[in-house]
Parts: sequence; C-alpha cells; structure tokens
Amino acid sequence: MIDIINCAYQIQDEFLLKDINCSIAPNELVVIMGANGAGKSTLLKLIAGVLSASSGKLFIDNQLIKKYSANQLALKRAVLSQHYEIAFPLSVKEIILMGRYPYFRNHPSTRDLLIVNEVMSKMGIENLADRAYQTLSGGEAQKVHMCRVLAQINGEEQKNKFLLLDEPVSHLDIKYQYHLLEIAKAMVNPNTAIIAVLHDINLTLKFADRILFMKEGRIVHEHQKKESLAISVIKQVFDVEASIINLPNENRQWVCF
Amino acid sequence: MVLLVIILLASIALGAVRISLHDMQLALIHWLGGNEPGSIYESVFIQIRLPRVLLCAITGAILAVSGVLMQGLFRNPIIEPGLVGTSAGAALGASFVFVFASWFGSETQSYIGPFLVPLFAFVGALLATFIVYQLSKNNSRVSIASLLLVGVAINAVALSGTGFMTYLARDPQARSISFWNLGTFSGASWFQVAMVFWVAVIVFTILFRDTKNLNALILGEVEAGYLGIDTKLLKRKILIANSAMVAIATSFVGVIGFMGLIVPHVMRLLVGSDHRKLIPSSMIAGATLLLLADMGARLLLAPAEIPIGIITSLVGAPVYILLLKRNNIIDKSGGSND
Repeated sequence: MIDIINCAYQIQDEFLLKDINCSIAPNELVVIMGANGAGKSTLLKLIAGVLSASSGKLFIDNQLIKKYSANQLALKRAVLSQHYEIAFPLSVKEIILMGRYPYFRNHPSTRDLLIVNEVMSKMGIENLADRAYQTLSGGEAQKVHMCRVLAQINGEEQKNKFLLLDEPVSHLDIKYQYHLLEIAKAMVNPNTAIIAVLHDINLTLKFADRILFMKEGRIVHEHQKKESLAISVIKQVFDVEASIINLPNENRQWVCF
Repeated sequence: MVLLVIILLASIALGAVRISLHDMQLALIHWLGGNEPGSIYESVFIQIRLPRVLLCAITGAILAVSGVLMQGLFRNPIIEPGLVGTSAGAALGASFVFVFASWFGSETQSYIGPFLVPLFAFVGALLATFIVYQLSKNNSRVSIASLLLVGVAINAVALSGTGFMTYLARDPQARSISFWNLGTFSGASWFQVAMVFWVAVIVFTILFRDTKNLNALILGEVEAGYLGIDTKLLKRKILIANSAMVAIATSFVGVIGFMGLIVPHVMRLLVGSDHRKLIPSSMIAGATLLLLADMGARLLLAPAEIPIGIITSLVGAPVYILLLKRNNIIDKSGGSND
C-alpha cells in the first residue's frame, strides 16, 4: 500500500508537484496521464524513492519511504525508466538477470535463472538471450528492460509489490504496445500493483483500473474504470477539443481528437 | 593462465644474467631450506629477478583492475587511472615524501619511512581522483568531454607539482624522481613485493563481493539504486580501492601508463563486461602483459634498461587514439552502432 499525504516537490521556487494526496493499493493498474511538464515522471520518481518530497509524507505499507534501505525498497518495487545508456558490451540475459540482483549475494540460484527464462518467453524475446545489448533496436531494448523489472518483482518473498513504468511503450509498434500492457495487466494481483505513465488516452482507457490526470503539478481529476469520462476533463488536462464514443461491445470509451 | 606461468618463467630466466629452469629449481630449494644464496646465479635469482618479476606481475594485475574500476565508476570504456589524475596524484604525493623525508628525524624515517611514500601517494591519488570526479560531474552525469578536460588540468597541476619537487630536490633525489616518473622495476625488493601483495589481496577480496554491484552500475547510478545498491557506498569503495592500488603501485615502480586502458578493453571484447569474469581475467592478462613489457624493457637495449613506462606508453597511446577515434565515429552516427 502506498499512501501519499500532502506531498510537494520543489526546485528553488518552482513547484513541480503540489498538494499530492493519493493511495495506491495492490490489485490495480493505475495510469498517470497529463500534458508535458505536468509532473508525471516526477511523481513516479517520488514513489520510486529516488526523489524525496520537499514537504509531506510518503508511506509504503505504513512505513515512511525514507526508512527503507536501498535493498528493502528493491524487493518491494521495480522501476522501468524512459532512457538507458549502456556503454559496455553486455548480453541481454545478463541485463535481465540484474532484476534478480536484490535476491542473491554472489551467485544466482536456479530459481533466479528460471525466472529470467520465464519472463523472456513471456515477452517473446528468448531468441535475443545471447545477443549483445548494443545491437538491439529501441523497441527490443525496451522489451529487455521490461523483462528485467518483471524479473525483479517476480516471486512471493515480499508482500505488496509495485511496478512503476515510465512510458513503457514509447518505442514499440502497436502490436507490442498491446502485448506489453497485456503482460503488465496480467501481473496485477492481490500482491502487486502497477503504476504507469502513458501518453495514449485510448490505450489507457483499455487497460487502466484508475487514471490520475495531472496538470501543473497537481492531480486534477481521478477517473475510475466504471465511470464515464467527460469531454471537459480532456479539455482541462490536454487543452484540446475531443469527442468521446462509447464502444458498446467492449464496454469502454474511445476518445477522438 | 598457462600463458602467464610461461611468461613468468621466461622473464625470470632472461636478462643480463641467464638463469636456467634447473638453476631456478636448485636455488629455490636451497633458499627455502633456509640457506643464504650461494652462487652468483642464486643471488641474482633470489634477490633481484624473483622479486622483480613478482612485483611486476602483481602490479600488472593491480593496474588492469584499477582500469576496470575507473571505467565502471565513470561509465566509460576509454578511461584509465592515468587519465583521471590518479597516477599523477600518487606520483606527486610520493615525490613530496622523497624530497621532504629529511624533515622527519632519521629515527622516525627508518621506522615509518617505507610506509610513508605509499601513504602520501594514496592521499595524492585519492585527492586527485576525487577532484576530477566532482568537477566533471554535472547533474549526476559525467560527460566524457568534461572528464577528459578536467583530467588534463589536474594532471598538469600534479605534474608541475612533481616538477617543482624535482627542482627543490638535491641532485641524487631529483634523478630518482625523474627516473621513477617513467616507471621502473629495477629497484624491486621483497619488502615491496610483500606490500603490493597484501594490498592486492585485501582490495581484490573486497571487490569480489561487489562484482554484482559493479555490473548494476553499468545501467547508471539511479538504476543501480533501483536494484537495491547503495551507490554512494559503492562509489566511495571504488575510489578508495582504486587509489590504494594505484598509489602502492606508483610509489614502488613509478607511473606506468595505459595498462588500465588496454587490458580491460581487450578483455571486454573477449569475455564481455560481466565483472564476475572481467575482473579475474583482467588480473591475469594485466600481469602477463606487464611481464612482457618488462622483459622488453630489460632486453631491448641490454645491458642498459629502458624505463617500462616508456614502453607501455609507446604501445598504449596509439591504441588509445584508435579507441577514441572509434568511439567518435559511433557518436557521430547518433550514438548507436547497429
């Protein structure tokens, strides 16, 4: 369980986040949406523990996030970032194995190696296992890192785990956007929640259990899956005119711009 | 590994005085039996050749591993201790002691003297590396351009410091400073072998526990943090371990350039960048390569001796330029090499 209470984050006089209040429990897929510079990634970094709030409190399972050691946090949450720069030759398998680093000291257990193979076949990239990371395309690299974070939150050793995804589908073509989000959705269970930043509103409406709309550092609207989304929200958050169609067969809405 | 043993034996055997394998065996048995060396062959072998070769091998391993560490810390494959000020800082610290040793009473000097040079070299190395690291860091990212430029500046400061020490020094000291600025194994003693050996053992033991963490650092500091690694502690460990290794090597044998660059680079191509394989293989390759270079230093102009730093730089600098050029080409094509 993540509880964010009155959190703000500022650099000098500039507030990147303000009056953030929300709770996220396992068993849901929460998507953070908003225009550029709305504070989505900053909020994700706050939850990841890499930034600490200028004011307010952030609890994970009723314990302040500051009180967790780096390794304790690594067992509780995994983070997929937007960009990776890797200057050294490493095989895909070695990179995915890094997701298991919090779980072993010097040598991976057979279970760790099993999990690595499992997530690779789930993502459909077994054929890349021994490729050098440097030779991958942007989309392939994104899948490799997704496998790494999936390996990290795999297993029942810990309760209440969180997977944070910062624009996980930005380099993927449509088929794999759906594929990746379906895999993510399948990870959601009473022990695991997913928090993702996405740009595509229709992809979001299909997969999200809850949407946090952000603007100028605040959460301005919270949308639950069953509710009907209003055009005014789209106008307020993205500053564009849109119309919304109901897809009766799929029981969801479609936003046209 | 086999190659290392062969070259180890070869470099014991060859030199101004040749020693056969049979002589080595006899001398070793004789010596281990607690006897003073008898013949001239035996004393050359025990007192000169053996410590020299061992010092050289361990130093090679140390320099190669410190290259691996620096590259990991700065997340760049074209970095080595000589470029980021570590070696020059160590040299400055050591030459400081050389010149001002007379300030300490002769009694203290004989007591702590042998430890003073490595200690000051360590302080110099740590300071120089730390300054370069801090100055070239920008928003927790180290840009390679600013790193090299700051490295040049700090190297220049340290070199002119060493130059000033040479200026202050009386003649015999000055000669040893300048000779040792170029690197040499000619003064190897068993005391030095023991010191280098123990520093290497301690540092390598600590490092082998961190191979996983060094791997994670390849992804970047923030990412390594996400994987549960205390990156602050890790960076501190790397800086201190690296400075200790370079300082001990530099204070006994002088500045030997480019070992930390070439060895890890070749090993990355051969075994990949997984530090669990990279560190041990770099140790072995570093020892082998420096033994070869030292043989060259002794044999090329025999009976005269070329400072070994000259040999490693002559070979290393062109390789470094090649690497730089290759990296540039990669940068120009948009940062990807597919």
